Amino acid sequence: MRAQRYHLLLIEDDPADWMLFEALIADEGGHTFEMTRVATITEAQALVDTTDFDLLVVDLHLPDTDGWATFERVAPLCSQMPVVLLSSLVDETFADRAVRAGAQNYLIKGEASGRLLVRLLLHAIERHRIQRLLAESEESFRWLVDGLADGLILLNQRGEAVLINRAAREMFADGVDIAAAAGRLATVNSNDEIVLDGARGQYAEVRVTTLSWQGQRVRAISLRDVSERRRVAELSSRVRVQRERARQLQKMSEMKSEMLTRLTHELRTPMTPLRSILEVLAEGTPGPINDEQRVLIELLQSNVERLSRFATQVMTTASLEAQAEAGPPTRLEIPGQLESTLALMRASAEADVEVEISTDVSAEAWMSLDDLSRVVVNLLTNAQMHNQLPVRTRVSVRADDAWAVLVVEDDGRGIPVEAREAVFERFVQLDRRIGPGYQGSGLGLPICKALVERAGGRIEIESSPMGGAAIVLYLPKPPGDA
Amino acid sequence: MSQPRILVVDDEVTIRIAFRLVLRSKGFDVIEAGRGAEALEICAGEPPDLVLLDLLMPDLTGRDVLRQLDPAFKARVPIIVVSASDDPKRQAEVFALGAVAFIVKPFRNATMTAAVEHFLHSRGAPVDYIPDLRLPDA
Repeated sequence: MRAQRYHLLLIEDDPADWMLFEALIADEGGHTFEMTRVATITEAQALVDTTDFDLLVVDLHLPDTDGWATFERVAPLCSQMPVVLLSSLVDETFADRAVRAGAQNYLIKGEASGRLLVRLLLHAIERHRIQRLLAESEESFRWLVDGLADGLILLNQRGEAVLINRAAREMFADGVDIAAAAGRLATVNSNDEIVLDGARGQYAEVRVTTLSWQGQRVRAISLRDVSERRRVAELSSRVRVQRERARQLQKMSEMKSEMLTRLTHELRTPMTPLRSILEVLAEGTPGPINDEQRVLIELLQSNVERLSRFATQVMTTASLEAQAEAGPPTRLEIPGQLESTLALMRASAEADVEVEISTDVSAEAWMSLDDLSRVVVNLLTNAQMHNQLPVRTRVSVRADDAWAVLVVEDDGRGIPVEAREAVFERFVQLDRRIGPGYQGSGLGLPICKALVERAGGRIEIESSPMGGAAIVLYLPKPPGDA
Repeated sequence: MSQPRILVVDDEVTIRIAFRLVLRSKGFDVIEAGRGAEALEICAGEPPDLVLLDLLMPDLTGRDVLRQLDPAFKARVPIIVVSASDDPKRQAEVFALGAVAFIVKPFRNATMTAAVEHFLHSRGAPVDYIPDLRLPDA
């Protein structure tokens, strides 16, 4: 051991004894002990607060205290500095108790001297230094363990928790018996993902290792709260499922459109010669026909027309479902567009409708011209077909700040309030019950709704002051006009 | 002057009969082809004044026929495609191949005769509105 100077505090009331002690350790092995002597513990306590000592040597027999009582008074200093007890009595039991309680040694006066005594004192100093390092290291360990983001629980072989770090404690909800909950982890295995009883989060990922802790074998269980990760994983798998479902729906819808397109084609192809030939017959080109034959031909023609309308509407539905591209929206001046749409209708004789156009108010809509024309044609055709008697129809523009509002109304039978949502469903025919003569397909209003909505507008049904139904179209205004 | 000759190309015999009835009643001379190859032969031999061409046929499609016809023939003889498909993409395709118009089935006889009259006599002039008739973008 390297030669050093040590500052020693001796509590000894007997001058003969302390002089002897001083003589016994003087200059032994090159070590120098600088000695401070006091006679009482009270004096010693005052000194240790102000001076650093390397070693405290206490005679157990003192004027103010004796035996174990003496040790008890110096025991609090044991963590601060090495304490060596001196006694005249050989008392092994006392010696054992004192060492366990923190004393570094118990020396019998006169038993050791010279080199041996010095070595005992130096070892006391060294042992204390090591103990102190250990204590610091354990303190650092605890500090580290408590600072971990992961929970750490040490279970002894009886399954009792001997350490629960802060992160582990925080993983449990208030009021949970954490020691009991930790005890239930005795059987978990590494890499398990467990449901943590009484935990704030639901799921913890576990790693287990066995190690030695304060002289016993313990299972060290580290817990990581993976509830958030689980939640994210569940969400993303749900999103995947939904995306897959959407893809299937899209595919089904494409198949349906494809089928509708073929169906329409198959309907239209035979209708072409049917229509042509009936027209030629009605004109009497191949030969004159009588009145009865004319009525029969006209009957056939009206059925062909009905089938033809149906095919066209199915086709429109199919192309809407296939999200066929709409023509680009343009600025449409409404009363003007209505006039040209009606002109087209009259030219194609698709509707010999008497329409009153009210042009008191003007408005501009932002929509595809084709789409607007189709909506108007559908609504006007509807008005005629859904009422057995010819009706008066009026198309007008209503003033509105946010929308270009177009109203198509008639003096027919109207649409009851309770049916106003259902009529926008495909193939719902309010007028089925009106009996023979009705020629609708149940697709007219759904098509109008789809066209108006794809322009960004909406369609509503009201009662018209004329007595029938009023179909109100809220169409978007051109950008910048709103 | 002799009657204008219209070539009707369609694999459906009822359609050929119907078109023949309608066109003859309006004073046209009608010749018929039930297959694409037959149509190409007729056009190469004794060219008609106008062609009404179906798109879906078993041997050659209407598009094939359009492709195989001589550009000089197409410049001289108007070809009107007749089909049940009202698909703007398909229409654009046949216009690019040289068809002058597209009639969507089913249509009224008046549509067919109006279109035939227009392209026989006023090809290149603006067309008045004819229902079910589709034209190339100007």
